[in-house]
Amino acid sequence: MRPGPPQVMQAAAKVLEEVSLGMTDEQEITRLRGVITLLSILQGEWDTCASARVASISRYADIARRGSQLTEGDRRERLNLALARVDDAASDFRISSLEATLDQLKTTIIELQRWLEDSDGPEHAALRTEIWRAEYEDARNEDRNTPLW
Amino acid sequence: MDSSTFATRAAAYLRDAMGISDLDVSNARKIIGGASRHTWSVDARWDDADGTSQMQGLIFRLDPPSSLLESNRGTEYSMYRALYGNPGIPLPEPLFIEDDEGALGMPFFVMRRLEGTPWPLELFMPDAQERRQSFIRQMFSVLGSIAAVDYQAVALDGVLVPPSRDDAWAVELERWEKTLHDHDLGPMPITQAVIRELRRDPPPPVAQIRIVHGDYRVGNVLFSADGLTAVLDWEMCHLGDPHEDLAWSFARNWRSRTTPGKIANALAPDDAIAEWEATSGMRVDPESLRWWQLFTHVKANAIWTTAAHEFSEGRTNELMFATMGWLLIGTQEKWALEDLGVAP
Repeated sequence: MRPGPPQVMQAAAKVLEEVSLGMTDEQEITRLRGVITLLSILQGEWDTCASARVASISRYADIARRGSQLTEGDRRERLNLALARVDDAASDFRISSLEATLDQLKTTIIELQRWLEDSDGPEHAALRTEIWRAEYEDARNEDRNTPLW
Repeated sequence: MDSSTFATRAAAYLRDAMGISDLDVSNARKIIGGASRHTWSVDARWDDADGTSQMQGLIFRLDPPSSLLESNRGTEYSMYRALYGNPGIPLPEPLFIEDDEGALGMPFFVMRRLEGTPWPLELFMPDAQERRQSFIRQMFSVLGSIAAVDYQAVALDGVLVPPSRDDAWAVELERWEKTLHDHDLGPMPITQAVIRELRRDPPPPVAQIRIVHGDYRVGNVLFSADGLTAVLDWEMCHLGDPHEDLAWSFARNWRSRTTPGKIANALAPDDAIAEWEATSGMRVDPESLRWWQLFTHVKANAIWTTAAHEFSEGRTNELMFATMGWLLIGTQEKWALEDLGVAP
């Protein structure tokens, strides 16, 4: 099997570590350590970078679908339009495309969340909770700092 | 600029500014960590009229073309001038401010270098708990002294604009919301939700408008073997609610995963509050503190976003700027949801 990008990144980080051992300039060593840390994070994320975004899109699309059932008029239309765009991009797994779909869904979610905060009713409350859950899951996936400190 | 070039240009400037023709500069080194300004340390040497050799360590704070924050050099310098010599607030002596880019390629100011390090080993050594506690206690005692200063008595009312007691929170929230807007990196539903929550449930009016350092934390103060020697990095200083500084210094960003309940691996927040209350002469309002702790996530994310935006726009190729946006925003949002009490 060919060495994959994570293995190559690991090897690159090792080279940088070896180089840093021979250095004396504190500033340069700190910069090099920064690069090594980034390489190790990229290495860890490589395998799941598409699937994590697909999962986020799925979570937010579910929320948009539920939101569409609770809303009407222009708001419902905007949610349906966002969902149609998700369907259109469903077979495009480029990270840039997944990011664009996710951003567009997040914009829709911001509007929905704001509306739900001013709405009463058990279904509204349940969807508010569901949004917090989805956002927390997203933030946990994006939490790259906790493992470092 | 390399060290040798900086030394040559700094020497030329200092000869003129200090009126000493034989002044020389050595040991020029750029200090790591400053993201909003470039900081250089130098040794200036000259002979007195009677032939006695003199040496003075100096710090140059330069405004880079791309900065983590749009900060006001004049304000920061004014803070040093206004508070230098104030009992209980150790500061480096400010010496010169220079708006002309000719001397060093950027505007800058100069101050005396004080001994100490922002990250003393005691903060990390397991067997230095007592010493570490003493350092961090002092940090909060000094913060209380800053909060105790009457800004009008030190003539800062002409430098900083005081908000009203009712809307100090709104001024800061709007400031950082605008920063987020001006450095848009894409939709941030969590941060937006936190901003709405902060607006829905504002803190009580401030008891007294005071000086707020704006970035008071481990890393922005110097410690020597004798304790705290200097409070640095005043570029985010403003007038407002002193709870803001307490909340910022309590943030999880400056805590360790191994001792998350302690500030800087040393002190429980209640102990820090006791130190602060003793020197500030004020009482902490838990409701206000909670509001400002939640606000901390908005402010921090505005800073991380600004850094990432500057990098994305190609205004800097500093790795630190890219790293801040990429590493920290998700973590900050996760903490915000936990502090908001809505995390599952």
